[in-house]
Amino acid sequence: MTCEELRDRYALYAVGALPPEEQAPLEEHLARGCPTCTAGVAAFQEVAALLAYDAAAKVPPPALRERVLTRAAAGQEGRSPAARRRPAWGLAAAWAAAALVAAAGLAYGLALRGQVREQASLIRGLQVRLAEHEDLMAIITDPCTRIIRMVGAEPAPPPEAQALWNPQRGMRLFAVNLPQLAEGESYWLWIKTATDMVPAAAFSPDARGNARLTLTDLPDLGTARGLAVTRERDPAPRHPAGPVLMAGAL
Amino acid sequence: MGAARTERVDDGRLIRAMAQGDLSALADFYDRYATLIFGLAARVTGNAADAEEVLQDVFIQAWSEAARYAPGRGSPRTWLLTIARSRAIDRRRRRRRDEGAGPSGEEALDSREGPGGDLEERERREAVRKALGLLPPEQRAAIELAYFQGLTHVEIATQTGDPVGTVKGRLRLGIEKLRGLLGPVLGEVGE
Repeated sequence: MTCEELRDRYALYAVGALPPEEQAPLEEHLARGCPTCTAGVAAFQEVAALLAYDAAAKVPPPALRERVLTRAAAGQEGRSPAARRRPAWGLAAAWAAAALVAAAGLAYGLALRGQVREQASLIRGLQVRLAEHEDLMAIITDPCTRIIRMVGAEPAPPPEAQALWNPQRGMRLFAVNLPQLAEGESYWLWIKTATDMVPAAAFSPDARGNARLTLTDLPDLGTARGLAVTRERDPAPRHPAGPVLMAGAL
Repeated sequence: MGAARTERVDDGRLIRAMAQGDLSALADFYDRYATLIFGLAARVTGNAADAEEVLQDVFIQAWSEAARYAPGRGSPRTWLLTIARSRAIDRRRRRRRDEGAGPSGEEALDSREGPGGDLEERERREAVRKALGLLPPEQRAAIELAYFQGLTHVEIATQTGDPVGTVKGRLRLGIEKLRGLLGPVLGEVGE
C-alpha cells in the first residue's frame, strides 16, 4: 500500500481502533522505515497518549515502587553491555550477528519463564528478523551488489556507514556512531549525481547511535556518483542545508 | 518550557541513564509517572490487581527497553504511555477472555484517588479534560471506547449501531480536533 492510502489510518492507529487486518499493513510499512508515515503516525500518537490524562489519577500502593526497583535490579545481570567490538567482515554482518545473538538470548530467557504469550510475539519478532537476515544475505552475496563505504571526519568516534547498493534489490544502509539528533532534526541520505544532490530518505539513530535504512526503489545507477549524509531541520529538504556528516563515492 | 520544567531532569536524559543501568533514574521515572500510569491501568482494566501488575510490567519493560527508545519516534512520555496502554488493554482482554464477556469480574478499586502527580501533571489533566469536553459527545465516546476499552472501529459500530464509516469519521475528526486543541500541551514536550 502507498503512503497516501495509509495516511487515512494514522489517527485510528494511534488511538488503537484499527482491526488487525488494517493495522498489519501499516505496521509492516512502518517497520520498513518510511519516514513520512513514521512522522505522521508519531504526530497522532503524541495526541492519543494524552488521553491517559483523562483517567483519574491514582496513587499506587507504596510497596509497588520497591517491587519494581527490586525486579529491575534482579534483571540487571541479564542486561548484556552492548557488544561494541565489530568483526572484521563488515558493519552489515555485525548488525545481523548482533541481532541474532540478542534474539537468541531473549528466546532463551523467555523460554525459561514459560510465558506463552510473550513467546508468540517473540516468534513473530524472530520471523521478521529472519526475513531481514535472509534479505541481507541475498544482497551481500549477489555479485551485482556494490558496497559504498562512507566515513566521517568529525567527533571521535567518527560516524561511519556502509551501503549495499544493488540495481534490482535496492539499497541497505548501516550506520554507526551517529551523534544524537535534536528534536525536529533528521539525518538525510542524499544521492549525488553529476550536477545535483537528490534527497533519498530521512532516518534517525537509536540510543546507541546506530541506524539502518532500506530503500527498495533506486534511481538509475548510471547517473549516481555517490552518497552523502547530512543533518537537516527541514522535514522535506530539496537541497542539503546542513553540513555533510559523511560521504562516499560509488 | 514552563517554569516547572527547568528544575527537573528531562525525560530523555532519564531514559538514557536507564539504558546505562542507572536504577536511580528508573526510580525518578517511576515517581514522575506512576500515578498517571496507575490511573490509566485502573481505568482500562477496571481491576485493582490487574492495574498493579500492569504498573510493574510497564516500568520493567521501560527499564529493559530503554536502550531501544528512539527519540525520532516520539517523546519519552508518549513512548511510556503507549507501552502502558497496550499492556493494560492486553490485560483487560485476557481477563475478559478468561472470565467470559461482561464487567462481572471487575472488583472494586482501592480508591486512593487524589490530586496525584505534580503540578505539571495536574495542569495536563485539566487541559485534556477541557479539550475532551469540547468534542461532540459521539466523537468523545468513540475515542474513549477505542482508547480505554480497546475496541476497533468495527466493534464500536456494532456497539453503537452506527455505520462503520460514521464511526471512522468520528474517531478521525475527534483526534484531529484534539490535536488542534492540545497543541500547546504537546508543544511543551521539548525533549
